[in-house]
Amino acid sequence: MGLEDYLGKMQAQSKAVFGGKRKDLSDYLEKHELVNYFDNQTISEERKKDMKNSLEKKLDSEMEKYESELNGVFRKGAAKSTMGLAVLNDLYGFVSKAPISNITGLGYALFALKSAAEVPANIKYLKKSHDWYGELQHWALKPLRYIAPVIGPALESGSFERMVRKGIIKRVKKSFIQTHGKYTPKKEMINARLSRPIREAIAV
Amino acid sequence: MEINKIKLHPAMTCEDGLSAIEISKKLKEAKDRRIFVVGENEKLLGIITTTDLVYKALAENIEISAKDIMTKEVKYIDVAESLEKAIEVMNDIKSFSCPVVEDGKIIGLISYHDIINHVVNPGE
Repeated sequence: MGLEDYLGKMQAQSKAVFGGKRKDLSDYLEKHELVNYFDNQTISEERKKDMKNSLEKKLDSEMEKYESELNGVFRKGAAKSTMGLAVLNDLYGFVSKAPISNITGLGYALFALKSAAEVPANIKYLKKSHDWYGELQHWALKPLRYIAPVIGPALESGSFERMVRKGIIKRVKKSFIQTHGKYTPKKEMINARLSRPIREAIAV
Repeated sequence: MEINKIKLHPAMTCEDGLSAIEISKKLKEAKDRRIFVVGENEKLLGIITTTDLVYKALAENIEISAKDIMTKEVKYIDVAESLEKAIEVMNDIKSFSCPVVEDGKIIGLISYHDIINHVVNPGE
């Protein structure tokens, strides 16, 4: 993968994970995570159409399953307003030239409020998805966001939803591969098999 | 699905003391055009083709034995080496097969066709 492809992938991933539009998630999966299936000359257009339908169904099913996590009005409202206040607090810290801008009681209180508002949703999500990796990453990054001024609260806002979206992408991809089989491009497969020792390739 | 493994073809062998006539009879019986000469512990020593028999035995001295007819520089592939290397050896000797050895002992012949079939239809 060249640098351009890598940056393109990162951009599409950010768009899907931060923006959260269903179409962006679908495009990211199709054009980046599952590109070997959809941008493949050896697979017929008809088969690609079937695979696309299958992908859409899987994505719909996952998004429906995590609807309350993605669009919980109360939690979202609380998180957005507290994080908005935290950003304003940090900005005020800069404007007022405080030595360490975000180490204020209000900043911590707002973060704590936001985190507390998230806990039930986190427990519910973990029970449904068993996404331990996502949860660990989510909570491990919290202290860093608490420390970073301005950008920290901004990143913290919506971090739970981003974790859920990342989990959705991961599970849809896994389910798609389980349904349609692991695909390895022909050239890579041939090279891998040619480099095998003869001992492994022959019947004893 | 079952893995599509390569079956080595049996390699016809003879001892280095065997006469040209006996070698010719063996080749005729097996309808083959080459025979590998092995020494102690089945170590690969050389190869004799029908051309060698005609040029070195029939045209010069029919009484000579395998060790005088054989070509000593035999190109082969070790089982520890890759299938790609086997294709390189075949290209080098301009043949569609090459002998496979393990600890210097010939264990069979691998063919170009078998390698391609194995690589393109892994069956796994």
